[in-house]
Amino acid sequence: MAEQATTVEEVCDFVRSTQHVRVMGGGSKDNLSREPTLCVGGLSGLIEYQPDEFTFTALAGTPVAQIEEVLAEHGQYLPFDPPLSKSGATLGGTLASGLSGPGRFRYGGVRDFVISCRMVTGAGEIIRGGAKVVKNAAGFDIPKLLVGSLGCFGVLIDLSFKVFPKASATATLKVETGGVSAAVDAMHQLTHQPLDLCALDFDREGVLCLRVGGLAASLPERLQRLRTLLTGLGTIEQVDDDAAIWAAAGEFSWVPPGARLLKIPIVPGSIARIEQSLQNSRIDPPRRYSVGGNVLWLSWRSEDRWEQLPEFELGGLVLCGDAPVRWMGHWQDNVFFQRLKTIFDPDGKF
Amino acid sequence: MHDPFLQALGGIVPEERLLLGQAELLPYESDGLTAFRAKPRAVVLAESAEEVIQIVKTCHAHDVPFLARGSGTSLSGGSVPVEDGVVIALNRMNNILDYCPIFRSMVIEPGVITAQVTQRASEDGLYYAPDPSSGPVCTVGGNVAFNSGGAHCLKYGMTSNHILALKVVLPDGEVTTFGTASLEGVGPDLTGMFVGSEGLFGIALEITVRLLPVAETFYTVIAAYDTLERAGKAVAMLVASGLLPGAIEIMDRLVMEAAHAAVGVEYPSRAEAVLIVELEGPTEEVAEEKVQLQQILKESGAFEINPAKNEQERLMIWKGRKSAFSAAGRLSPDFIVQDGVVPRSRLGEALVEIQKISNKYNIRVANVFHAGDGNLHPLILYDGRQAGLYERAEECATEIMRLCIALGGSITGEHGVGLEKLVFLKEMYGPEDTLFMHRIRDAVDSARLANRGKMLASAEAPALFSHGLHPLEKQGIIFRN
Repeated sequence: MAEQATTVEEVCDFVRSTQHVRVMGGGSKDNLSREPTLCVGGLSGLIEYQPDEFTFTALAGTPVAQIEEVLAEHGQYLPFDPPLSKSGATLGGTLASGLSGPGRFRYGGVRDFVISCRMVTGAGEIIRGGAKVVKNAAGFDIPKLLVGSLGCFGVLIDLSFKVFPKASATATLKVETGGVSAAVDAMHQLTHQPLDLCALDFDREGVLCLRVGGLAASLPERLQRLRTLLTGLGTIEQVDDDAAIWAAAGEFSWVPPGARLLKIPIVPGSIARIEQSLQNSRIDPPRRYSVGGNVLWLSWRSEDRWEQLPEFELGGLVLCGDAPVRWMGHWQDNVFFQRLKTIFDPDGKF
Repeated sequence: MHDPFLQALGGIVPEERLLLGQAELLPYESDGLTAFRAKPRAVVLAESAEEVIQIVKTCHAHDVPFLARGSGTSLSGGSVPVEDGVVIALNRMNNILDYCPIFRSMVIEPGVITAQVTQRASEDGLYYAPDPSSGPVCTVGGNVAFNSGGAHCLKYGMTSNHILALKVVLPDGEVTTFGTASLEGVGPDLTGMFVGSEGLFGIALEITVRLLPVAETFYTVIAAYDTLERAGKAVAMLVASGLLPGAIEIMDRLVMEAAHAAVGVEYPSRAEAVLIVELEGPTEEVAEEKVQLQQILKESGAFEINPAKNEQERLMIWKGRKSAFSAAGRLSPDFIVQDGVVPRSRLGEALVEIQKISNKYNIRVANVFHAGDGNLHPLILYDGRQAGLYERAEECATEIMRLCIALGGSITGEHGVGLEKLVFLKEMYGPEDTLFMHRIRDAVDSARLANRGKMLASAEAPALFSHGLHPLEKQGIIFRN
């Protein structure tokens, strides 16, 4: 049974008195928060938000959805589209798992928007990193270090982010290119051009989703130009509910219930090889290429052999589903990581 | 050469690339912040990553402090040598190792000049977003060490936001890599932690940078105001409006005069301050945004609004802005430049306070800001040849820095702590958080060899401060007037 913490003091006391600390926030990534010893979902709430400053500070257990709602009231948003927000993802969990959604394509990921943090280290001390201003070059960038750290350096208490004004209008074009390879070719034609695309994703059928956003009056013209560029690449359709399809992408609604979901960082140049491996093995797992071919979201069913992933040179973070590991990769072997770990977590609690 | 350490260095590079003579070492004694200098024991001109690794290992074996140096443009004293330490000069490591336009990334050596990344990528319609004013001179390695900024951070962030992967040598000679060419990763963001560590974590040997498509259309405008404060308030209005310009900059009267004298840019004659705003994006969108922008500028009290009519005029606006630091030499024989940050909504307040501080010390302060980020750049003007003036200028600078801390900002937005702001890091973060940073450094570099004495003040840091003329000025090699 996990301890419930609702105050910073409780977190400090718990860390000081416990040998094994595994934190859970909202539990939206069940494989990452398996067997928690400390639940920080109660450490929740917006601490500071000044809309004209375009920054906010909130406790780490605050649901992302709650933040998004407050920001939206002021026409602002987190441009990296934090995934799983409708499933209860917290701000801290999003940062600790290093997750960014389709919007990462345009302005950057969670790493590019976090500006400050407070955390409890393995020694039970509270430390702060960064500053609550949008530009800061003083001291070590501890907030960035924590991105993707999966709780191995400490327990997050609060986080500050910078935010952006939300486009007053957005629209999405779907292009049926016929297959992944055609979608990749189309993507390469687009990503070089000054189109200001907010997001560029495609699925295993080669259906390319392109999102544009901006001021309402000029959007139709931009869409028309995009259509002209896309001529000959496949059937083009403007989706009716633009927000809904990206929200669905952010919730991974295409993943079969109970299936494992992996985040696999890739470079666009490796997509052909990945597709070849999958085809050769006659496994056709549900999958979606996101962030202009920089992330492969892969659903791996329980009947598919786990060992095949490394054979295909695929590794990453296993967010959901019953999996033998939390991640596949060797970042813990990195000497720089190991040296940092001795300071943040001297007794190996995290 | 009887010194076994120097002998060991001589075994790594040929004699002509190991500088030991006084005259040869002189140019390396100082950097862009000319108030500080120190004598290195040797300068090694490295030509390959392997040489750098061997040099670092040798330094570690002989317990000799070292630092890497690119073009020496640091404005915080970050590349001032450690007294009696080794300077590893990286300018010759200036190769582009891999360039993949289709994937919008480039792998470069640390000595590549920042502006050259964009130059190379521009034939493919791409560019490297970080644009420090020293871009035509400074190196990407230095930008990585100090997380350099520039005029376009508002929309695109600082250097850190554009570094995908690094190969580095840690202070004891161990080599490791962080990140990949992918925009995303798994595990802690070690790349992000290394960038901005001011050389304390070692030296970047290979840098993978992210490139962006060049915007289709730019709309750059100069808006004139009768007071600096009004220009500051206009920034808050612009930020709050929901527009996301590529850049919002402020220059005051003094800086305009200097820039006019230096590069001939004309500014509205009655203006006490000008705002430079640059919109960028798809043509249709910029056309719509500029109507909104003009409206806001009018409402904010701008008495003249001059858009650049063509690319040449736009580049001239930027030339004037980016010349500000070097042009300040025309206003005063010496100046201290700071880069503190305040919350953007308190910019107007900060400007009023700076004016008060300037009056109090009877020291002229010229102002040029990356205003959209709340990043101030007060130029504190003084004549170092007059007794007591440097000290007064420093007190004035100190007070401005404390103002930034008091307003909830940062002591540095882009120049780094270096030598200049050593004592202020603790004021900003408090004793516990600063101590924690010391412990992090000690875990990575237990011998404290890498750029010792920068960012983190330490008891054993050599007293190397000295003021006055740049060594090259003393020699009669360079002049400022």
